[in-house]
Formats: sequence, C-alpha cells, structure tokens
Amino acid sequence: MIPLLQSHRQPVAWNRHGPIDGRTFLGDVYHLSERLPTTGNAILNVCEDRYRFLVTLTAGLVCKRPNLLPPSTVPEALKQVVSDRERPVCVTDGVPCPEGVACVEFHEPPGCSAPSERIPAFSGDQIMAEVFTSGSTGRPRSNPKRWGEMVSGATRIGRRLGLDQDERGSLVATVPPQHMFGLETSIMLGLRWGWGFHTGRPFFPRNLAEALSEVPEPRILITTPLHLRACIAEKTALPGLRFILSATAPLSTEMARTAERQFGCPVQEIYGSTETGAMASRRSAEGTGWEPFEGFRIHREGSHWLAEADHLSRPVRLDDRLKENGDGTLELLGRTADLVKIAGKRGSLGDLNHKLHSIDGVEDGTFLVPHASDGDVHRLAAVVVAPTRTKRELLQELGKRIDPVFLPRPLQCVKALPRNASGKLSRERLLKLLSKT
Amino acid sequence: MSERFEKQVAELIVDALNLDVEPEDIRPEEPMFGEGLGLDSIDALELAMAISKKYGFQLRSDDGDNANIFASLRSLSAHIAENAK
Repeated sequence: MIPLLQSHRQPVAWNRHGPIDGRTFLGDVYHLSERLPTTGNAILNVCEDRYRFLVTLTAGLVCKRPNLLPPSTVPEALKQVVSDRERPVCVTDGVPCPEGVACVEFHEPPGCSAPSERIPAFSGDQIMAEVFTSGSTGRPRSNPKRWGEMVSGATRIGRRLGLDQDERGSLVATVPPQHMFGLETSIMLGLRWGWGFHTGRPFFPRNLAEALSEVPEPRILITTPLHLRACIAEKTALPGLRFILSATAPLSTEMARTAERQFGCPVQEIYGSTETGAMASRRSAEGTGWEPFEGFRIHREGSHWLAEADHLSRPVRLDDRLKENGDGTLELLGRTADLVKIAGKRGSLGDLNHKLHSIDGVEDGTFLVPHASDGDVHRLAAVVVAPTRTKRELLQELGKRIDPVFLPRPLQCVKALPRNASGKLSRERLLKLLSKT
Repeated sequence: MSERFEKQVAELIVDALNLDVEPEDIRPEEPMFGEGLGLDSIDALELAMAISKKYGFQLRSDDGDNANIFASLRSLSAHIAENAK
C-alpha cells in the first residue's frame, strides 16, 4: 500500500489566495466521494481547474473507480471515451457532460467541507486512471495506469531532475492534467515530492508570468515548445524558476539555448508517450541525445523500436525512428512515415487521406507534411481534386471529420495530382503545387 | 468599431496564421475557433504574438474571458481597439 501524501500539512496546490494544504484537500476528496452516485463505475474527469481535477482523481481512488481522461473535450471525443461503459459519471467544472451521462457539477472552491487528517493508502495495483490516446480520426484508445506505476514514474522523473526529498517548491503547468505528460508531471510529481501546483492552466505568456508570481520559489514550469516560443517572442519575465520542463514536441538546441539564456534556468525535456509514460530525458541546450530512464529498455526489433519496462505488460512499439549513440543515449530521428504529430496530437496520414476521400465530390487528394521553417511547429497541407466543391466547403467537411489541428493549411485545389507512371505521388511536385498559392 | 479596423485585424489574422482565406471572407460575427474559421489553441498563441508585435500590448485572459476575446473577428477587434498602445 502506498500512501497518497507524506503529510497532511503538505501544500497540495496554490491559488491566488495562498496554499491549499493536505487537510483541506483530503476533506474535499472525502466530500466529493460521498457525492458521487453509488451506481456505475468509471468517472469521466473533465475538470479544467487542476485542483478539482486532482480531487476528482483521488475520489476515484478512494471509491476504487478509475478516472477516464479524455484526449480532448470536444463532444465527439467525450462520447467515444464513455461509449462502452456502464453508467459512467462525469465530474465537470464547466465543460458540458456528454448526453446520457450522469453529471456531477463541481464548482466549490477549495475547503468547502470539513478538513480531514486521514491519509488514505492505495494498492500499487489499483487502476487510477485510463488515459486515452488522441488519434486523428480513429477511436480514442484506453491506456490503464496503476497507482503504483504512476508513483514510481514520478519518483524516477524527480530523481533525474535532481529534486530533493527535503526541499519544497511549486509547479505551474500550461498542459492539461488529462494528458499523460501533464498527469505525470503537474499532478504526480507534485504529490510525490510535495511540491504544490498552481490550480490554473495559464495560457498566454502574461498569464503564465502572473501564475508564477502567485506561487513560492523555487518554481518548475511545465510546458510545451509552443508556449516557450511565445514567451521568448514576447520577452516575458519568468522569475524564480528552478527549471523548465518541456514535452509534446522536440525543442531545437538553438531554442533551448535561447530559453536558458532568457529565463536563466535549465530547460529539461521529456520523451514519452501515453502508452509508456516518460521514457527518457535530456537537457536540450547541451546535446541532442536522450538518456533513458532507469528501468526502461529501448531497442530495435526489425524495422521499428520497442520500449520495455517492468510496469508495461508487454513491449510497446514506438512511433519514432531512433538511433543508439555509443554512450547509451538515443537520438530521435523522426516519426515513422505515416505518423504526424501536430500540437501534441498524433494522427495517421493514411487515416486523414481516407477521411478526405470520404467527402462527396473528392476525386483524388492527399495530405502532406510541408517542411517547417523552424523545425518545431508545422501544419499539414493538402492537395485535392474536387471540381464540384469549393475550398471552403472542403474545409468545412473536413472540419466535421478530423480534429482541427490537422486541418490543412493550405488546401490547394488542382485539376490532377502529379502521379508518376506507377501511380505514385511525387512529393517534390506536390510541394511545387503548394508553393504556387 | 469601424469596418476598416476590422478589416485590418482580419488581414493580421490571415497573415499571422497563414490561412487559406481572403481577409474579406472572414465574417465579423462568425466564430473563429472550432466551427467557423476552425482555429485552435496554437493559433491563439500565434495571434497573441502577432498582436503584441503590431499593437504593442500583450493579451491576457481572465477566468473564462478567453472565449469572449476570441469569439469572433468583431470581439477580437474590439478588444484590440480598447487595449492598443
């Protein structure tokens, strides 16, 4: 059995009014677990406030009911996540519940119930959450996560990053706690090491700076290359940082160096996936090699790479092409051909093309990945043959079928695709067609 | 809110986000995110950078205000007009 907290005095979270300690938190957890309908099983957790998210997650642990963590809060995704569950419950602080699902509205501020000093402990084998992978078009897939593996994951990450058992600080995160990276870092790292997190999810650089000023030093900023780029461009002051933790897309060495200079702290990056959790890390300003976490074995088998670890029931096939460096670190070469990742969401070009072809009036067409100028952020493009449809109509039709991050920019309508004699598309000629827009 | 200013903001949006539409095709009341123009959170950050560069102020969102600022070209233009330096 592993206890939830080390002490009921530990600050679990911070908001602009100050710390929320373990006693307050435990009181809120027990109160919510009593409010949950007693029938049914899984809990769909769509809380946007990080504290309410954790209260809901923990109430699930207390009642032995796993939290379902959706890849996004668009209605279609929520519907799919609960589709084969018996009488699921949705806990929300704003996002509309999917139709036909019992809804528990959770709007109370922290500390509305009697505090408690009773620290629960859970079996390492208990399923804490099912984290769903996005997938551009297919059904979201469940990845069960046990309480024990999440705690040991947070232990590994904290050790690698040099956290100290006796030191306390705080976390601010721009990533949602429903995603694996956000869950492992902003929630689990905080619980395990006693670092309280900021309850909000700041978005614009200015909000980020404000959130940081509301929590005590030292601070860890948990974010993505997109937010870092915006903070660099806006010359945002991010004071009192111990380090910045980035994931979801690789940072260029150059950007990492700029960030380290500008914000005066190391930038650490995590390489991971929903299926495996954090697998490796690097300090991006100092080199491109990823150092696998203790317990992970990442090796090649045939044409693809596998990750193995004690907490994984079987080897996980990775979507990335890797290379072993002589010193035990790994080089990330790129994604396997069919896979694209935009704004942290994974999609398959094959799936996207299939959806494109399913639109009435589309005779031929393909998605492609144009080269990004900075190597970090890019959009997809599409070249389409659909003489009877306008660009606007095509984009609207696509918008109904795929996640907006995958919408092509530009979408170029042409009379015919540049296919060679064997019917294969020439990437160069496709790119030429695009550059004519 | 002058139509001319809205058009200026529409041009900024199309330019900053590399959108495949003409500025005059953006309807002032049309939702910009999700359905409508189909923008997402990457665009919001991108737009924030472009706005700060051109109009000299940094966007920030108060609780729940985010949705209002970015609801439409009209609301965004109004917000910029109010805050521009």
